Amino acid sequence: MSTCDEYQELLSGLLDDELTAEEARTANQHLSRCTACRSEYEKLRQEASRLDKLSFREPQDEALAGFWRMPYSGLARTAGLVMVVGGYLLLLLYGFVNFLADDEEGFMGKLGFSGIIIGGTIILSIVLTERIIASKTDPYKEIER
Amino acid sequence: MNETTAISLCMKSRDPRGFEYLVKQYRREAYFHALGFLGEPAAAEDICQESFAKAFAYFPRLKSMNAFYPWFYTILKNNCLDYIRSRKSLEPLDEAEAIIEDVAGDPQRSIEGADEKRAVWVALQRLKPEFREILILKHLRDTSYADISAILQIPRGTVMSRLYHARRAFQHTYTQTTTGESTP
Repeated sequence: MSTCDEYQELLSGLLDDELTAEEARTANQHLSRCTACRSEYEKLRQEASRLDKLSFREPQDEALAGFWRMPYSGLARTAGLVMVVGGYLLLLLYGFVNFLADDEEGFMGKLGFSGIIIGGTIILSIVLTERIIASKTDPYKEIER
Repeated sequence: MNETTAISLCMKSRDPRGFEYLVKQYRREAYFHALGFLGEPAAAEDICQESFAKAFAYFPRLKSMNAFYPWFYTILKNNCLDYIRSRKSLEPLDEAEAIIEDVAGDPQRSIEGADEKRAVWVALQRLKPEFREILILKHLRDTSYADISAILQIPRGTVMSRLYHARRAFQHTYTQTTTGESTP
């Protein structure tokens, strides 16, 4: 090695006690001969000491726990919900079809019951459509409740 | 379970138990590294969450992996840099009190010490990400050259020279910060 620039990286290594014995001997030999590099080394040591005083505040355990959740817990919850709602709707449909197909039931009863079911379905679909439109256009949806 | 078993579980059967082990091992370090890049605790938490989700999704595409964190760190770093690019303000938020220990001016400790720490943090935040990253790894996380070399995937000689230039840049920026000069 001939110029001071070639010793720059060794100065960092020497400061951090990360050099091999051979590298440390080379760096120290150069420092003993070069005033400019000794001054440079001293400046680096000062900056390193300033930086060493900093330490991060520990994060909250809840924050760390929120970085990742087991994906199957969410999947299982959704699957359970779909099965309950799907089962309920199937039962309702099954009862409705059986009721209409039953010859013992009178025409007026079937008409009234059909009105309740069809009307209920219309109201439910209107409410669902409005909720979907509102969720797409809600300017406050990013705000946590 | 150890890291090799966890990686194997993730790669062979995409078993979330393996990934959960890796997350628990590295989430704290990931948070500090993201915080070093971003300087905002809330953003660091969001980016960590997003990065772990991405890592879990990418796992099946990998053919082999020796160590989890250097691979994960590239995802985390890219997400942090994307966030910095999309940030409206060029100046990072001054959240030193929420990030650095003893910056709030604890009467039991010297106020000058608290002010110096704040100035050091502000100067660090003004460095380019490449320099800030290596100074945080070395000084705030006490990472060895071997580990820095593995995380950043650069040779040991590059670690030494980058640290040298980062400390020089820090010295310049710190002087500007404490004397009230604006950054160029």
